[in-house]
Amino acid sequence: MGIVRFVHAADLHLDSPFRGLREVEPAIGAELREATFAAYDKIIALCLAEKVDALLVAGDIYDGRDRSLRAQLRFRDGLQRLADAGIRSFVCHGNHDPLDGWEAQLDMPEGCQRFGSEVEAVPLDPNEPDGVVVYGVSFPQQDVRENLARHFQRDARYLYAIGLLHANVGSDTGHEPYAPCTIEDLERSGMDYWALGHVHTRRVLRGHDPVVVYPGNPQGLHRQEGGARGVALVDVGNDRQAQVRFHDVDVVRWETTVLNIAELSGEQQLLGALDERLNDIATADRHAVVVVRLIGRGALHYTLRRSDTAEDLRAHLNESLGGRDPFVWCAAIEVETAPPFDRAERRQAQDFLADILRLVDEIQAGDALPAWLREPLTALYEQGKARRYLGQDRLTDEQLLQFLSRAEERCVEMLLAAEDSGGTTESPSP
Amino acid sequence: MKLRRLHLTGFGHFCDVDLPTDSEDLSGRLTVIHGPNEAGKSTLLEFIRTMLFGFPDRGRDRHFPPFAGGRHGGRLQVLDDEGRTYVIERFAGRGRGTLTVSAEDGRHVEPATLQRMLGHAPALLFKNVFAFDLDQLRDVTALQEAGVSDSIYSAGVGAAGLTQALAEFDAACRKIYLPNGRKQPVAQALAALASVEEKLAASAKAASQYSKLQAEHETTERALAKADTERTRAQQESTRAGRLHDAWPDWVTLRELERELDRIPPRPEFPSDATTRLESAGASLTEVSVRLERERTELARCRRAAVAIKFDASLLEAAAGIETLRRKRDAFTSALDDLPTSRAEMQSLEQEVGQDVAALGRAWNADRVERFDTSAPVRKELREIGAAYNDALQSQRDAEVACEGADRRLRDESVRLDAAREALHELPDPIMDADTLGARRAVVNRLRDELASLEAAHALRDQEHARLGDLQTQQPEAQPLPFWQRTEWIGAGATAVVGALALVGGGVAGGTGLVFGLIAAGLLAATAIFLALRARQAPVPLAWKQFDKAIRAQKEREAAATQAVQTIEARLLELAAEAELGEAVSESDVAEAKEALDAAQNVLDMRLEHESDLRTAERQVQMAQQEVERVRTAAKEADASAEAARHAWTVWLDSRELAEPMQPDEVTELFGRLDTVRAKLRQLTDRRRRLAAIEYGIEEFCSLAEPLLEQRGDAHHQTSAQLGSAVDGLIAAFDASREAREEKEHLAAQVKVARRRFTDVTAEEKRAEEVLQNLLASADVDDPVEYRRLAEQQARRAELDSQARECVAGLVRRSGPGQAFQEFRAMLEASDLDTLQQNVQRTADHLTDQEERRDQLIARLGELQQQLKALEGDVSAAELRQEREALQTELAAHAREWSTLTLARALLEQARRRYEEERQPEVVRRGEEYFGRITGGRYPRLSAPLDQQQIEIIQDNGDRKTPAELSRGTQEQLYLSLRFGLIEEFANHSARLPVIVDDILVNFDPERAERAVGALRQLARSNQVLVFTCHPSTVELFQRVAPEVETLPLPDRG
Repeated sequence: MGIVRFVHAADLHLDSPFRGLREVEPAIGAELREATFAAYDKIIALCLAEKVDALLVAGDIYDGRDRSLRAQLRFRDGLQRLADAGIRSFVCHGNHDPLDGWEAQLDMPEGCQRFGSEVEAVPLDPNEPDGVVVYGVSFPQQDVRENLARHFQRDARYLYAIGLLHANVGSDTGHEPYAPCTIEDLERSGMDYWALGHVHTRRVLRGHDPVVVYPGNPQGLHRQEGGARGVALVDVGNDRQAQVRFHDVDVVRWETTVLNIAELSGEQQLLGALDERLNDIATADRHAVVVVRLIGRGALHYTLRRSDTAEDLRAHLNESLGGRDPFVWCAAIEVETAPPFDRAERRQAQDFLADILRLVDEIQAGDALPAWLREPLTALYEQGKARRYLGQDRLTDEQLLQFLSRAEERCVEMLLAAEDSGGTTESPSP
Repeated sequence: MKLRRLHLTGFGHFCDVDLPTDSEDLSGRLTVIHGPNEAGKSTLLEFIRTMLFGFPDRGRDRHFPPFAGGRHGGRLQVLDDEGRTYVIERFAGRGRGTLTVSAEDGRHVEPATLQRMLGHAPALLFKNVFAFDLDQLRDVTALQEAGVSDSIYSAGVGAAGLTQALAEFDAACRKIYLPNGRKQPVAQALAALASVEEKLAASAKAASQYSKLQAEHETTERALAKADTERTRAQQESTRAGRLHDAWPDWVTLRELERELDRIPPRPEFPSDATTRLESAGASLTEVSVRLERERTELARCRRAAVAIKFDASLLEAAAGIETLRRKRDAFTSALDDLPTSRAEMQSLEQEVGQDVAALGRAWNADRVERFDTSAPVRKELREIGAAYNDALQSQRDAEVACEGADRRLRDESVRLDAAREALHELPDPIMDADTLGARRAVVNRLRDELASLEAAHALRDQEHARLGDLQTQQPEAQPLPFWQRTEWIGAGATAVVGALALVGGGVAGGTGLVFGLIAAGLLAATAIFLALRARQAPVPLAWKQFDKAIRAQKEREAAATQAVQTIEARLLELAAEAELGEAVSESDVAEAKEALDAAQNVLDMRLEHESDLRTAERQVQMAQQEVERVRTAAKEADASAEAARHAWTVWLDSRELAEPMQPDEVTELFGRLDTVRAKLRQLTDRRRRLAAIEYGIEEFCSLAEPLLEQRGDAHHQTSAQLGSAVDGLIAAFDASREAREEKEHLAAQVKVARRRFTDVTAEEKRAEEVLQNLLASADVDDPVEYRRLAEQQARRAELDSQARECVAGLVRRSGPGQAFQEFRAMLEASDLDTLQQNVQRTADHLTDQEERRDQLIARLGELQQQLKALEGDVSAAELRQEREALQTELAAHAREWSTLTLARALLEQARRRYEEERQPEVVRRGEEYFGRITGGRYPRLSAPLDQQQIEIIQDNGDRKTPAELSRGTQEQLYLSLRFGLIEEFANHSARLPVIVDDILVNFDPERAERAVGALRQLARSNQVLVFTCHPSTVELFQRVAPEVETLPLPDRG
């Protein structure tokens, strides 16, 4: 038996909805709504099974804006089960559940330590005041731009010190820069182990002196959060070396599968290939939400490009997958295919279509995007209501270039169809 | 593209008409087609448009219908820009007509080929720019029509679908999103989102109430606890008031009972059942007295009956003897019945056994039979020794038979040997031995072969000799052909080959084919042989220069043949000597020699055969002799064995005292008979023993019965049967006496019992009297009547006391025991009924108030718990959030699609704008050149601002004019020039389409008309130009300005 054994979790986002899903079957919808709770239950079960000394939760337990009572109650109930088993819990709050956010007045179980807006040191075992200590601090409000790590300063009398913090370490995480800090800040604090939260992908930023760990979120909530999700089970030996093992606790896993249509001769073959992919993804122990990306150039593109083909295909796949337990749900079929068309060769021609291809190339190679590219889209993106919801898809240059690329494909399709039909047959849908 | 030929199957007034009418085509670059008015220029112009672009979608039947007959439509023969010829055929039908495009070789090609040849030019562009008449030229709007206007910028440069694409992108965008639209998916998604947000806000508000509800829940719980206490107290008061009220009747009864009890003094000595006891004691005494009388009567009756019974005591003393007689009585009767039969059976058996023993012989009597041992060991001995004796005798007999057989066979084989020797002796001696015979036969065979060779060699020599003769007689007139060049040989060879093929073919076909193949092959083979023979027999004319060579060669062949003959003859001589024949050997000599050899062979073969038979007979005699010796030895051995067995058998018979010469089978049979006789002897012994037993039983019974009968005076009985009847009477008398004695003993016992019971009941009567007296004494009275009165008084007191206790118990049930009862009783004493009733009402009202208050609190607590539970388990917010995410996802998807379409449209417009900037000036520049040239430099420049669909004309003095300000002719020249510019630009970037103009020069002054012709001539360098005109002057003008022009009259109408 070493010094301490604990589970380090973060970003539970209890009761937060799955993103990027259109309509789902009611039964699957219910499973998805329950997923964050089920993952949390697995964390509690892990703590009990491994007989840990404590559970550490590094912020973003739920989204305060959602005012989900259920999330708070279920969270408290889980901690109560730990308390009943003599396991302590240490909780700090992050940008999604800051201290000034809405919260039901619930009594937390005895043995649960919630950190306030000032850094506090709490011995893990009250009977060993100089033993293992947990330092922690919560976000007083959502938008904390201050470097909170600087407030952590270890007292030398403690045997082993753990820092519990919701923070953005470095600047390459792709997350909002709340409580920004650097590895050096963490190192200076004198902590032995940094139990961090905020970044949803598990990673060990540093393996020793101090150990700095993001356990990631225990349940992926959108397609960018694919792969295994869980918590870190940490064993600190008598030599004060921490052994970090990640444990998967997710109950629904996001999967993305990419299929090139170039080799597929028809819809039947496409269906067969998709069936095969989805069957490969299906596992015995957890549900799967799958995003299918269709890429490549091929004749199938014309079929796929019809407005309802992808949705029909998705409906068919979901129907054929129906009744499975664990379920496999195709959340989206993204058609990123292109017509069988040699762009490079066509670009050499002296016609209007070639003009378009060259124009697109010029824009893509240019330093700045022309105003005419952004201006027509503001009618939607700057529209009051839509702006609110399209915020996450706001018109970045990258986004515009994606649209431009798709727009080029549409122009090519339309003009090629007109060429082939000589204007006498029906055009493809735009 | 160039038009080569037109064929109008049925179009307007034309029926089955070609242009050109002759076999030429419209190959020239510039062609003037002329004819009078109504000759059909416009019809031809429309025909070309229709063939290239199709019939109008609507009213195609009215589009130049074939008045003169023929199928509505026709065909064009065209050349594409690469010089390939195609035929475009189109007839009125669905859509734009039934189009067929064929390549030069008649192969159908894709209809899209035509679109490519036309550079994807739309019909409107062709009509307004490439194939127009004066009206269209003068129509100012013709170039401004949307399609043409767009086409100026697009169609000619590979964007045939630009206008349509723009319109469709625009429509698709509008379907997804319109800034003020409500039905579009974006608007609907936003509306749905707003609704969801509203519900979420409501849900969030409800969640905010949670803490407040929780606080109220706690307060209410506390209030409920207090209300519970109050209610309990009120309930207790109400209960107490109720109890006091309920107890009032009991209390009143109790007080009355207590007063009555006070009036009756207590007599504790009277038990509660005193009266019952008194009555019970009296009744007991009466009952005992009755029983005592009954017992007395019974005792007297028993005594009387016992005295009346009598029996024979002497008979009962002889009970043992009489019981024995009773036991043996049935056996005695049976013995008397069985005795005669048993005696008869025994005598019969004795006689039978005597006969059986006598049958065994004189040496046998019953005693020897009994003693003689036929046990299993003796029988086994008999089987073994007997079998050995029998086997030995059988072996002896078999050996004798074998000896006889061997002797007989030896005799037979000796006779055969003698016969074989005799036959060999009588055979003639062989002529020669086998080796000599074989050598001589080989020589004779070779002789026969050589004779055949000699004949062939003679024939060859004669043939060669004859050929030499033929050669020497022939004239050397012709060069000899090699045989394969000679027709006979060729014929023979070919026929043979055909024959072989026929055979092979027949074989492949099989069945009937094979038969026909064989027949054909046979016929052809015969023909081949015939031809070959002819080839051989035909005289061969020789050429001089080869004659000598041929003669020499033939002579050599003849010499060789002769040499061969001589060689064979020499070998024949040698062989004849060897075969001991004469020198001149002939085939008959050889045949005779062969026959002699065959005869010698026969003699030799016969001797060899007889010698073989003799050797076989000698071997058989030898084998028979050996067999005789072997069986004789065996016979001797068998004799010895038989003697030994016979001796053993005799010894065994002696040991059993069976001296007679018996065989083993006879002894076995004797054993069987002895067993039978012995069984009968044992049976006889049994019978004798049984008869003795019967006789003994009869005697014993008689000796037992007679003294007893004598004792009763019944001693004389003649027969055993009479004795039996007397014994029966004796037994019956005995039984009667015994029964009487038993009855008497039984009655004596009854008397004893009755006497004891009488004594007991007398004592009982005495005790009953004592009980009654004691009871009266206990109450200190003498009289049972007095006792009864006092007892009834005490019973009444006890009843009152019991009622009073019941009342007290009723009160205690309501108050509780002990101190509580005393207080309760005190309260009752201190109260009255009215006060109690008022108290009941007052406390009940108070309790009702308390309960109502409590119920309200419970209801509120339930509501609060329900609300809290609902809030805790509420998943609707989660569902709403998920719905919001779904709507957002959908909105984002629509936004992406809308953005893509919007940018697609923007991209098209941007590319078009760029074209307008970079390419359109080129059209205007080219038009400017043409316009300046046609107007003789009067209008040297044109301007086409980008943002305006308007051309400005800049005069040589710098003044600007709009087209409207120009004269009609000049306007026409301007639009003609612009068309030329466009045609050239189109040709530059897309396709070179034919230009067809219909009398467009009529409004031009001669000078400008001439320049316009020059412009057309220049245009004809890149594009085929067809000029329709009804003016001979125009034809002349073209011929003057462009001498290379080809002229063509309009064809007659069909």
